[in-house]
Amino acid sequence: MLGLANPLGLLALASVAVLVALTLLARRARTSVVSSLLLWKQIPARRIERQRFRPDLLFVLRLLLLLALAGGYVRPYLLRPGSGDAGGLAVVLDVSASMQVRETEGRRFDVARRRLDALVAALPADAPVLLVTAADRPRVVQRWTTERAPLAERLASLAPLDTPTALAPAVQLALGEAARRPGARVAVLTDLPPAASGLAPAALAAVDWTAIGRRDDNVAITAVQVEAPPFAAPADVRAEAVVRNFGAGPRTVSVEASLDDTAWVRHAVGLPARSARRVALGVPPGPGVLRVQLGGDDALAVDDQAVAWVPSQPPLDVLVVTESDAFAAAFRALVATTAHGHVEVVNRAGLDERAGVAGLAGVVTVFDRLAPADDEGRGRGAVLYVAPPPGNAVCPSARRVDDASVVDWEPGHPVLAGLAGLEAVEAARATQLVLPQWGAAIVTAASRHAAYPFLVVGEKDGRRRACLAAELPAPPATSDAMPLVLLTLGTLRWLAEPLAELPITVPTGVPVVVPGDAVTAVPGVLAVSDPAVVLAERAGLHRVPTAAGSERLVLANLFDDAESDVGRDGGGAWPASIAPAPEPGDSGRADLSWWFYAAAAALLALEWLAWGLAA
Amino acid sequence: MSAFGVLAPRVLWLLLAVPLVTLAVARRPRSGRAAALRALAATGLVLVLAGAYLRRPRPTGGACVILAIDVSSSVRRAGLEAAARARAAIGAALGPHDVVGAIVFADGARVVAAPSATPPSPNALVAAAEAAGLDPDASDIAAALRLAEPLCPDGMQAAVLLASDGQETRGNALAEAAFANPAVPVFPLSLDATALPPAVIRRILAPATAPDRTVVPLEAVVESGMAAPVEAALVIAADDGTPQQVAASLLPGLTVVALPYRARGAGRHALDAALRLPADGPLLPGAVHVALDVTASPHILLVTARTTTAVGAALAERGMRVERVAPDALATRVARLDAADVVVLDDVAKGDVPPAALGGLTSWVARGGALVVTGGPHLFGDPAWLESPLAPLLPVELLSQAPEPKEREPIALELVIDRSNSMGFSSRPDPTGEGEKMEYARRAALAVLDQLGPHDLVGAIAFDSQPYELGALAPVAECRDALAARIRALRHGGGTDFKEALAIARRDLDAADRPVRHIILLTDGDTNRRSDDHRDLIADLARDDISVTAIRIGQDTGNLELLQQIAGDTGGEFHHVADATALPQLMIRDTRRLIDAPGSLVNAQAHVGQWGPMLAGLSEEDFPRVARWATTKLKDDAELRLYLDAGSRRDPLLATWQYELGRVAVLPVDFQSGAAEWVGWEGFGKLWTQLVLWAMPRTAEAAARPGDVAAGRELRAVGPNRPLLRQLAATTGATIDPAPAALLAARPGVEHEAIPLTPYLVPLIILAVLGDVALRQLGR
Repeated sequence: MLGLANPLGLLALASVAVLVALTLLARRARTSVVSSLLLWKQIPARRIERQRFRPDLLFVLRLLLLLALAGGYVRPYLLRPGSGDAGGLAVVLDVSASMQVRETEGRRFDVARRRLDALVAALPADAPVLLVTAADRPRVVQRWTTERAPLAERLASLAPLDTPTALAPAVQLALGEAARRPGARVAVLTDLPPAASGLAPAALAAVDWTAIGRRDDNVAITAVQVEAPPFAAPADVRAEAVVRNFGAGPRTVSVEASLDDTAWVRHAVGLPARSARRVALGVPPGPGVLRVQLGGDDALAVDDQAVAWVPSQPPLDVLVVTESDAFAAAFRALVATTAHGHVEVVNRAGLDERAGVAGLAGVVTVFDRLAPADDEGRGRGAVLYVAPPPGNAVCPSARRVDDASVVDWEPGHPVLAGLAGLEAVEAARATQLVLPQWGAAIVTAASRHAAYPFLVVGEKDGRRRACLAAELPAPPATSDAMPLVLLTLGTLRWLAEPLAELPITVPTGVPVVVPGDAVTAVPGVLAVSDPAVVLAERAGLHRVPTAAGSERLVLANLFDDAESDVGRDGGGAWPASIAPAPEPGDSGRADLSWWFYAAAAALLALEWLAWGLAA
Repeated sequence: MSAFGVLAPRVLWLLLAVPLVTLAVARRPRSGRAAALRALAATGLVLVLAGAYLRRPRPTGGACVILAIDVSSSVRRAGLEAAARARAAIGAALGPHDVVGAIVFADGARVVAAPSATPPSPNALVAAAEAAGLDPDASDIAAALRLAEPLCPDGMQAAVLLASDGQETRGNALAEAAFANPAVPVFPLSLDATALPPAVIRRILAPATAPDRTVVPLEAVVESGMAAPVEAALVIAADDGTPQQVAASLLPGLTVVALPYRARGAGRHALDAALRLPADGPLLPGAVHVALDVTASPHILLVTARTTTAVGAALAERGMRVERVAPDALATRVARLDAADVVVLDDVAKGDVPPAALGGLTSWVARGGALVVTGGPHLFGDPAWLESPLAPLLPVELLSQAPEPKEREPIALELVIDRSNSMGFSSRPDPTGEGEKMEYARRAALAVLDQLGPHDLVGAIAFDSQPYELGALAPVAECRDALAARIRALRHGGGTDFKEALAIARRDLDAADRPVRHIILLTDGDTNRRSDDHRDLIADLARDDISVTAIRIGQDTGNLELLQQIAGDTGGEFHHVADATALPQLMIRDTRRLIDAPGSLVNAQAHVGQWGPMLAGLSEEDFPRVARWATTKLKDDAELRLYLDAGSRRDPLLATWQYELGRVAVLPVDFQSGAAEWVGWEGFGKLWTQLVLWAMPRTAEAAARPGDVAAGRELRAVGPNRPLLRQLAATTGATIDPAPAALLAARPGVEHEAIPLTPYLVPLIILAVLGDVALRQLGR
């Protein structure tokens, strides 16, 4: 089919009129001064003939030249075969965890793949196909192609991931691609009904939706919690799992826990239909990787397992840098509440000497109302700055204030894990902190109507550091000071954690910023650096190499009720009621303008030749 | 900078032919200009055929800009307005291949305009945002980025214009942006500060659990971004019930507003708080939600020998479940202490509590139990407590209540002695013929007389069916001999009615100017009156701070309850004595207790030492005075909440501390005697309720703070989270508030856009051809 990409270029045809006018003008009577009319008189007058327009070869060549130029200018094109009705098919294939569910006719994913094969087989041979997978995020696994072999190869290499579903971005992507190909359709193969996709009705109407799945008999571990109070004795650590029955019938399952691959406990748990139960696993026999596994067959296997980390609770080793005996005593009392805690007190002058005698790796240095700028880059361990003085560069602070009360906090931060009653944290004297670039304010306090960071934590140069606004009360173990003491202990626990050895616990499908060194991707775990982020596509225990050459553990779990709630109503098909909104574009067009310009060039040369010969 | 280039360089060889033409034509007369035009046309055509273009710093495939517009409560219309401004700014700079799309986000993200060469109008954006059906009480920037990044067509240079305040409540935008493949720069837009909420409720400070029927200490932390104070109103609704409005004057910065809420009904309750600004204006968007678990009413185990207690009545009146247990029954109850929330020891004598019970009580507190100990000298003056397991549990040291005699304030004592006929009975052979009870009563009275100092006031009244005043209240120095003679002359006979005798004693003591005023009532028989006849008298005695120690002689149980009530309600002691020979020692001990009580020093005003939640809402000026108290000494790690000035000392009136995992509070004062005035004070119930709630153990559920999950985090601050926005821009290689040219410019590594010169060359060629023709045709 022929078309014009620049119809306005037809205005160039006006040049033809100019050419005609010029030709006519060239034929008008002119006065010439000659020496004699003798010879002119022998020529009969032919006035009428002179006025008549008689195109000659030159005119024709010039006309053709202008027509060729105008023809090129309107940018004529031909639609390529296959770019019209053949349109193509953009396929969105759900590869989220719920597609692993085993139905009677096979896994949902395999059923979907077979439907996809059938869809592609029904297409014209020259119809291009685009394949997008949808799990936690969309991925284009095969760009538009008319070749079936690579498509089949890609399709065969696919497997459902262990992640939740985010269908809408993938469908939007497919709709956008289809809109740029006239006649292209979008097909979605998933186990979710259209209403659960989160797509707008207009988008849904442009999609051929195929939903599959029926089974609902799934029991899942929806959480595993290891409660370890700061610096608690191993006997005070508790582990529990939350098991939920998503099915319509009651179930009895076994919950088996192992620690570092050594069997630990086993419980039989009865679960009424659509109910959940906390299963107390007890006191873990030691630190390590805790694996919890559900026994018994159900629809989805990936959520029958979970991994967690039982911390080793090393004793707190603190170097207190202070000029105050009261502060030293208060900190000794504070650390005395921890199991096997050790405190060493030096003054500012003695710090360098102490650091030189033995390294401070693994030691939390606590600066009391000090924040020495030359502390930067000394390779020490973690640092806690208590009531840092105004004007320092490490923990910027504005001024000293009285009567600070906590008014806000970030409940999800590990420092605050397990801490209750933060609203009761008060400090008679505090430093009004200013947020530094390296940290985040996880507790906010207020004094006299002004809010300011109360506890800032962060990492810099591979070291954890924290700034605590409050001056510690002496004695610290009063009931009023208890919330502040617990907050301080929680901060110390976080600071004392061996950063490089800590496992990275992540939910599958969610990118998480990694503390410490960046890690390298391994099968099942994607990774990027700067900032260091990991994304686990597979649940379970992964060992990932770090940029520093060591190895870290990634503990990935699928704790997603929506994904584990696999029950469906049998599925169905919802054909598209409208075509994807087309967008103007150049795809599928064969531009003819170059040929017009080539013709123009030839005509220009011919006209020149003809004119030269005529002259 | 633009750069010239051609797609097919080989075609440029044709340019070599152009000079030949020019030279050939130029040989003809007057054909120089025509030749130049023809050469120009030929050159142009060669350039067109070669695909001449100019490169400019724009991406080849065009730029795709996605407007990611935050429509959450903390942004309101500011995001849409910023997007509209950005759209207008970049609209003029868009190239033919550039497209603009839009998504809106709050708790999730929705596409409202697919990328198109025609950007959506501001009105269309507003309409689409309203139709998106998003929950505005959350911000998930990560979801917006996750949706925006794949939205751009393949081959286009994608960029996200983020119109948000950066206050993300879900997801992690930084991690999401870092994971984009290919990387998509996120350009944050500054929001118009005047379009942002002028004030927000940052957080509702609330306990995760609260006992039923108690006033929950709810507070709203409100942050105002306005420069001047403003009147506002907080609207709080529980379980979608009728909203309650609280007026609040918001100062610039933070204001903490107390919200009245009484827990009603066990179970989880949803509390919604919203801000009305101005006070009579509309509700600002973005209610804060808090989940509060209301537990059953606190279970108070009240250990006391008293039949009625002011403390128990106050707690019960406030909705608490008060279980009264006699001290001697504590041993059987101690194994089930976990069923109680708080144990209150009210004026308990050491001798009344089995030793085994104290051990159990101590370990229960250490495991996280809550103990409140109150009482006057009866408890804190009992030296037997000093070596008991209770002593280390308390935040105060128990002192010997025996100051130097010269320091002692004189006391006033009335002896009320039964001389009824039954007092002449004897359980053993009686050489005097008077019966042993009467005899030992006389001996006891005389022994008490010997204990008193010369400045003490003493009087004695005997009674049978009517009173006989043996001696009016007078200094011992003046009346000792005469009174002793009359006591010795006392003989039995008649019925029993001690009410009138007590009334006379009360009248005399009431007139006495002594801080310690006491009656020892000694009787063995059943009164002729009903118990109810004594109710007013007992109340008068308690109100006048006149304590009565009742001693019941004999093994029968008549009158027992009445005597217990008299003693209990007036702050005295009750003793049931089977063996009359014990009477003298018993009465001496009771008298010594009074004499040695240093609390008999002054009538003092209570002062606040260290504020705490148990004192919330109470004012020091409103505290009633304390007539008598027991002297104790604050331990090192204890908190002195209330104290009484006693000369150079500060005697604890309320001391608290943390005992291992439990909490202990001590009030060394008898609220039915030395501090009886407090019972009538309107803040008495509040003080005790708050004290009990403070002491109550924190449950495991409280540690989990389920309310935090549901707590509104969307409106957490006035103004944008600039650090996050800056970091987001820096991480993705973008800038804040980009100029349109910078936004649409090709990024490093992206092929620059080639602008074909053909559309400009072809008209030029046509003109050149026509000019050439004209010159040749007309110039002949």
